Amino acid sequence: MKYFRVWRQLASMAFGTWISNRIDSIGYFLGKLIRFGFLLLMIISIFNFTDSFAGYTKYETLLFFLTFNLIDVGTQAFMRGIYIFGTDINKGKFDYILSRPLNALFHSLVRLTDLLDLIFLIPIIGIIIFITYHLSPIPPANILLYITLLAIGFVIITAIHIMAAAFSIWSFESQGMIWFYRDAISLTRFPPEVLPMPLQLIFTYIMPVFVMVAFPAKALLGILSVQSMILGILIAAVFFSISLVTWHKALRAYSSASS
Amino acid sequence: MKKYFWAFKMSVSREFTYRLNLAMSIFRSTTVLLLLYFVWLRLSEATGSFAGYSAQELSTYVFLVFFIGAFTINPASDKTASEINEGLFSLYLVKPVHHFLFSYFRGLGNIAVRISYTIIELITISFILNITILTPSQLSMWVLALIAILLAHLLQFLMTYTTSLIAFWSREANGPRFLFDWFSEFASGNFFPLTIVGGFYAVLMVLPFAYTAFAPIMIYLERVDAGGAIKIIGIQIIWIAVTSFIARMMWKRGLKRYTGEGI
Repeated sequence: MKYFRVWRQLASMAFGTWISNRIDSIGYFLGKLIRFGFLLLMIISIFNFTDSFAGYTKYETLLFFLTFNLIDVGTQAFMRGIYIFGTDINKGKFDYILSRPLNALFHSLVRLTDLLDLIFLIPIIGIIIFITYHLSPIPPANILLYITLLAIGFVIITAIHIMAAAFSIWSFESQGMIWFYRDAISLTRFPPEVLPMPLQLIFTYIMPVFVMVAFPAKALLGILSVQSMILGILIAAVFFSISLVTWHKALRAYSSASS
Repeated sequence: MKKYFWAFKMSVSREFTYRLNLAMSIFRSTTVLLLLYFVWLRLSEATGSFAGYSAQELSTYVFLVFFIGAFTINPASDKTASEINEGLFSLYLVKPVHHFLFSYFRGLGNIAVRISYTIIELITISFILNITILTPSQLSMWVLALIAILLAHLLQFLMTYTTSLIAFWSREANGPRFLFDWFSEFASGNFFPLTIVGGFYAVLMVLPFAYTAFAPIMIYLERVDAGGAIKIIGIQIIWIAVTSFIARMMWKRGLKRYTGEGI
């Protein structure tokens, strides 16, 4: 409950910032909308020339794209704090966070809630429901699996964000790693079959972005095997454990430089 | 010119100071390049062509987009807006430098580093994946494509610099810059050849963005004849003149409003 109250307070402060910077907020929101709209246009345009893309129909391809957006935008909505964590480390501001009666990791991850991304989640979820309707009949069990695997995906993303934070304590250069993750996850805008097998394996086991996005989408379509589901759970458990160990090791290495 | 050379040199040094971030940027651009390459490869592998482009034309398109992107997108123009908002801009007013040229050469340092690793990256990937990159069959088209790419570089810088000058009127220039960057990214054809979007294509060709990547590539791929290429270059020159005029007007009026707040 204490952490929920802290998050609520941090979120309301972030909302205040967004509302007081209206021109910036509108610019950012329209920018996100443009990015989303143009990629949607690209996929729809592709299907003006073909019926199948890497073995998937138009609505199936759109499901992969929208699941990517759901995961990506959802993460940014709640964990935007990681993008300013590197600055805190470089300027020694992390000392103030460590001295608070609060889990420093929790604070660092959720300190900035992105109102615009929260709003943006609404049309994304709306279009996913629209697409699911067009893909029907989809059994309710598949929808339940989709939601479960999305939750597993969020566990892996949290782990990657924790590792990026730990990495920035060690290296003082955090932006590269988090942006590398952002570009890796952008691969999942399209079905994994677009890439050759070696790259599919790398982005399933080493940087498991396909587990986060393609697995839920395939589960909804009813083409994900039970073994893959178990693999997803195992990868999430392994990544989360490694991230926590990494974070604790990084904390011990924190030098409070520049403070 | 010596002072601008130093701005260039410092910018190059800064890039190599944060080597890890630089290495990550290379990985990042490789990831995006591979994704776009494989998307168009999958779409064209069944019939050898897609949307009127041969598989080789599509591969060449993706590679050229990356090359032109590295040459035209000037990251230092981002700094102008924050310098105005934070009052650091005042320093340029008391220095014997022209801000436009200083900003340009500072960005050119980033571009020099980026273009170097992009060329290595493109050669390596084309070698590993055995990709054939097409070249213009006529010397005249080579020359026209190179002129168009140089003009694209200038046009892109002028557009981003002009957008940054919004900071003279508003403390909130980053949002509009973000919107501009993403619109420019797509409308310039960095993600897909603009011809695939059907009726929307005509709208995009009216805007200047298409002339920073898509149109020069069309010249390189010889999808327009020499006359068409000269027309594209003419349109680029008109857009450069228009954005220069707007930038000059905004600079003059902005300076009158500038208060040095935040210094």
